[in-house]
Amino acid sequence: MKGLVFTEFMDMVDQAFSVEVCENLIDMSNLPSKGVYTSVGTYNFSEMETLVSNLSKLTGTAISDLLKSLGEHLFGRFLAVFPDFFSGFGSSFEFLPRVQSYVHLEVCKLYPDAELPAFSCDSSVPGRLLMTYRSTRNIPDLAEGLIRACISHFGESIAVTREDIGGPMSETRFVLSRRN
Amino acid sequence: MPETLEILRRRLERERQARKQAEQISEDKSRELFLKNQELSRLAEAEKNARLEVERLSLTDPLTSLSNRRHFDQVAGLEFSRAERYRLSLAAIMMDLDHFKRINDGYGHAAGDRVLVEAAAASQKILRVVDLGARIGGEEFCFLLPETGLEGGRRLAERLRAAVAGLRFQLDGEPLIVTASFGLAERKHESDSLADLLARADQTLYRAKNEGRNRVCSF
Repeated sequence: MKGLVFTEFMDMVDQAFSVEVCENLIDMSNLPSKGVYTSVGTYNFSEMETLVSNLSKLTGTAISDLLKSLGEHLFGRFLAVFPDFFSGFGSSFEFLPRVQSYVHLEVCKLYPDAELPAFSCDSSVPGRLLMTYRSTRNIPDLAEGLIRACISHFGESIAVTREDIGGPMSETRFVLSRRN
Repeated sequence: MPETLEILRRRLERERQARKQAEQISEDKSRELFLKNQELSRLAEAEKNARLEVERLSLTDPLTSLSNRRHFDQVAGLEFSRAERYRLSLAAIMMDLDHFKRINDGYGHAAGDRVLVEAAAASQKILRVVDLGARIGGEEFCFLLPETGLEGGRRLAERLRAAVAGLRFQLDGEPLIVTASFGLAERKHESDSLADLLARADQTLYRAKNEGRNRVCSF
């Protein structure tokens, strides 16, 4: 997993909880990296699983809520660090279908070793966007956080429902419906 | 307070280590980029050479390495325009190997090719740097001589004739002498065209053939 996700996770813990919680988390997690992360590095995904699981224990917050928060936090960072990816888009229905064909493609050029989730989109029904998420890492909560932050960024009123389908590639279907 | 200091100390230490990691990654990436750039430069050079070679091949007669018809037409067109613009002389010589069909039929195409190659090479040695030599047909060649009139053209054509006639071949163990006929024409100063100039040189070449071959005739 890219180091940026780890460094942002640590920042999120500092901001949402406290620096003490962050230090305790590192102490109790016994991480191979010892909690030393750089955004340009790559680290084992199991470290993230340990961190999130232990943070849940430390704070009593559900893992799914922590991952959604991380998704929302990450969207804000992506917006700040990669503004070019977002320019020219006026709505989440315009932007989200391009995540796979444009954003992930560009990310792969920068980081050929990045293991990214796959999104397929169906916008055949007006006012509705169907996004199917597939990932070997199975973190649809993170994807949901990103999607919700995206909707909020464009200032839209869109309902998000989610159906976890499972399967070997842990598929999740998100249905985004515009509210009238 | 001591706790806060301890936290700061730990964070500083992690930041230091993270910085070292990032520096190492950055160095590795720089090295990778440097090698990729080297590879790209090599590929660009190879591509450029290949392109130049393709360009050369597209303008060259593969057998004799003289210009081909396409290149001749390009250069001759420009030379003719230049001669017109600056009122310069321009001469064209058509050369055709005599009884070439007999060589091909009697000794085979490989022998015929050898004669063509050697006649072309001998001609190339006579031509000046500014002259253009091209193989424009089977055994037919054309030479374009910028800033050259009939008199200079005739001298050069004579040298070409002597050079070809001076070649000595041994084909199937038999000695063979090859000759060529030459037609020479020069650009007229009023209302002429390249096609007309070449047609006149061609017409004169046939006169040389009819008058007994191995000779230069001028229009």
